[in-house]
Amino acid sequence: MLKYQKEIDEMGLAECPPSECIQSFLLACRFIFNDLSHPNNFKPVGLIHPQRLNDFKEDVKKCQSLGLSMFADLEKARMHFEHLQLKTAGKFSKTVGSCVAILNLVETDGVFSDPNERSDSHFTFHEFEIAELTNRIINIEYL
Amino acid sequence: MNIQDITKLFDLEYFDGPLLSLFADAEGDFFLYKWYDLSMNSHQWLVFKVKYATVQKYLNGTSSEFEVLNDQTPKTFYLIEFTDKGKPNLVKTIPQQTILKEYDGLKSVFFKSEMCPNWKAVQHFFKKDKINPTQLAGLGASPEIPSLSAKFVISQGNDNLYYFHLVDESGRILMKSEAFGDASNAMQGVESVQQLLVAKPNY
Repeated sequence: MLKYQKEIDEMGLAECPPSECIQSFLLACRFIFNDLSHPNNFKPVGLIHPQRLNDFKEDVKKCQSLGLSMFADLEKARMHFEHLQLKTAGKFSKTVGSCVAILNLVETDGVFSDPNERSDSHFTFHEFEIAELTNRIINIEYL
Repeated sequence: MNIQDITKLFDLEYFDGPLLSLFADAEGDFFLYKWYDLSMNSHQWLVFKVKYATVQKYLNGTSSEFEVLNDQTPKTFYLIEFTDKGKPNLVKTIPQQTILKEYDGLKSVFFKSEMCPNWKAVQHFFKKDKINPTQLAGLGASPEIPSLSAKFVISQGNDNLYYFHLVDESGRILMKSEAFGDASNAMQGVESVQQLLVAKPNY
């Protein structure tokens, strides 16, 4: 059972997460705030800012908005952060935090899209109901 | 500029939502929506008119994003805020110099195609040397069909999805498409039907 199954059902998303998602062990990186208890650290963007849901018209994007953005490669995550900080004149870190957490994800935490699909190693992670990702953090780096 | 009358063509850059999107109006003018700021109660975008060639250079990697901001006329940026119902409201206008000062760091920022969710469609759109304004989505797109006095029209429905119709000279709808999530996909649908009509005129 997914953590946000109710929201997926309410949006009428037939194939979310996509069937090609993987359930496996993975070292992953996610941008978080420098407060480990920040409520948005592991909250999907579609739930943090419901007004953004108007941005997601296609089912694929609506589904992604109920998952968590992560990277499989720490260096690429760092580069992505720097790029987006420049693009947004520093506002990006206000939105996603200014740290990157390295997580040791296990099979029972959820399912994820293929990190090899994109050259920047970005993927979307859909948590299972029982997952507690704060407990999976093995390292935090300030960006 | 009437912000209610421009239609999205593509998201050019995307991370947890659109960061830079290309829009067009009925006259064939292009506009960029650049993500500006987000708080619990507001969601703001910079909107500005941009030349087709300027976007093309940015996508080709020959211009930085700063050059895109610097190369637009009129030299005014519109700060737009979206309501909960998704309607855009004009917050204020901002002079170009203020924006260029704020975004000085963009001098070293170039387009990254991996951030473009529909890069193939964008490439296809921009490989043309010039765009016929009447072929823009959403707003009376009207590529002519050989041997048929009809045109395609792409429009956004009340459900926020996009449809294309084949309309004859008297305005009668000859064909209605399925729904598309965005205007660029609807354009691809039009192209597919056009190719089919050329290949099989009796279709």
